[in-house]
Amino acid sequence: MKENIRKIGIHFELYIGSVFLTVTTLIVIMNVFTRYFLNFTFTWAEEIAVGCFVWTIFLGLASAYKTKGLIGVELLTNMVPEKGRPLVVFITSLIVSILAGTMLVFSFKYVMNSTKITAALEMSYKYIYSSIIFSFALITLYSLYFLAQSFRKMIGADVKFEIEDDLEKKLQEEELEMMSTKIKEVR
Amino acid sequence: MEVLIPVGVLFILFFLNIPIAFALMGASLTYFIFINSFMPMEMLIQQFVTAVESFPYLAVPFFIMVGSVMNHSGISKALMDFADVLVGHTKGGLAQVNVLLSAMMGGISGSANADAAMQSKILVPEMERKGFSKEFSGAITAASSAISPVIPPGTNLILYALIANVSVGGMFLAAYMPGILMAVALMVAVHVIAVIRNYKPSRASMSSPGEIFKQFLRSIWALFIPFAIIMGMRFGVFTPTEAGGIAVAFAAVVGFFVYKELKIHHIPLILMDTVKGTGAVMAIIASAKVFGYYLTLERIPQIITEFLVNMTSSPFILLMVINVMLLFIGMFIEGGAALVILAPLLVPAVKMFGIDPMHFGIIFIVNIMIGGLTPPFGSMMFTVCSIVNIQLEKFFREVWPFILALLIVLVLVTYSESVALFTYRLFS
Repeated sequence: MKENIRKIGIHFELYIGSVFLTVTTLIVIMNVFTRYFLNFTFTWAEEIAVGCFVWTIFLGLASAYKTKGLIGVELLTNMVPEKGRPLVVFITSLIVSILAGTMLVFSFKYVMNSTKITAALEMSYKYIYSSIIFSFALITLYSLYFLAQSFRKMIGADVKFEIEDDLEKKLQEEELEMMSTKIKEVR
Repeated sequence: MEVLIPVGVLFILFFLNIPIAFALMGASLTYFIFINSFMPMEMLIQQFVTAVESFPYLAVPFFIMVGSVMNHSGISKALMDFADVLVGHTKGGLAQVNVLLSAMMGGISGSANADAAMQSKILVPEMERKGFSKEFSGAITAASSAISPVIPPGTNLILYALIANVSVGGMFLAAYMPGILMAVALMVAVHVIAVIRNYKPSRASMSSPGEIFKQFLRSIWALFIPFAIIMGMRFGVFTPTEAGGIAVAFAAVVGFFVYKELKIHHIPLILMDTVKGTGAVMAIIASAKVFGYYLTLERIPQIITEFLVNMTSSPFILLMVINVMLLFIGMFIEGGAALVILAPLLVPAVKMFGIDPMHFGIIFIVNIMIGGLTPPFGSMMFTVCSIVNIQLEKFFREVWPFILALLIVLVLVTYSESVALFTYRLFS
């Protein structure tokens, strides 16, 4: 039970994001169908699809940062010996928290002043753009967590400064298993 | 010189292992806060969001999802069997299977690192059992993984098409040719090495036409779906976004009802995987847009174009200089990142020289993939070396013939537009 709650907690952005992604996908497929077979499209379809897409992106970004799924240049990490790694994490987390915090402030101001409404549904863009605020708030939070953990590690505490991503592992394991059973079958 | 500070900040942040999306944000923030303080900050956020709230970009998550769906559909297994019946009987059979599988997987997964990781775990142990050295197996695995992102559909191709403002469908079609050439070049290199070292085939004899046909039928979906959709886009039947949506639907149907290996419980995994992948890719696009806005405000692409025009008037020399520069940058920076940062800078310049932007895209994408194989920081090299556990210098001793083979392909597509755009023109 506790394990399940932990799992949902780790991937909660991905769960919500999946819902948005599903909506986007279904709408686009529906749009193709109505356009080619029934010769019309719903005017609201594209707006909803794009709105959900924006939410998908920013939820995905927060999750990718949390679980180290973002592409970076691994130059420094590869050069620094194992012992120096907490320091590297400390520096990067510090920079990311400053950047994400700044983006949080600016995007908050931007969204609050936004008066734009969508063309078909006349819905406020605030509903779409608040995903950015949400995302940068989470990233700021996570980077502060990594900052604190790496600092504790530097002063000698035995803590982990990584949030484990069992999703990636699960996917890979599954794929590997499928492929290796096949190899055994063939040979 | 002050206006170049953000570029410096970008590289410092890169070096400090800040994810590329955040490094681009940091550089742009530096510009808008400290250098050009006349601009309201709203402009920065506006550039950031308008980049992603566009319908064409919806193609990105769809093509990521197609890959994930097909992976769970058992298609990779079917493709591997097909590759084995085709080339398993030749000298160095498994090494050839390795190359061919990467090429065929290109239609499913557009990630070189994913391809390198999968084959390092699956094929390398099998190759070692068949008497190949660990270093050789790792080298061919890394080299062949450079093919997957070039074979359409792949995110790099979509990104380039949107940056350079060329048709996504056209870019997809064009990329088949260099992808096939890379596979052929590597297979020739493998053959030569296999003959010299007398590597064994993986199966005793050539498979019968009946068996080949049977395996072909099983893999036809993986090979046919991407191609049919790309043709549909090319002829304007549907937009890239619609094509992506249809591809997802088709792949799901094939997975559920043809291969019958896709199960309901895979769906949440596929969706979650796609959400994360989409976030990672689109964040780079959004930040690159803001960074690009700074570059435009400071007219940096024009300055670069002027510089290049003053340097030479020959497209031949220009392309050589760009290629050498990209190969060098590719040694340090991951290919996709190099693409979003450098393509907006270079495309205006090459257009001035009368080079077709689609042709340049092919050169660019083949080039950055080769960078992933070279020391000191090639990403596929690291993936393979760490999984298979090989020392970098031993890896390099085995991989250089393959890098050479791929460089020959690069020179060929650079200097022959008709080769580079062969498949595009064939279907136009």
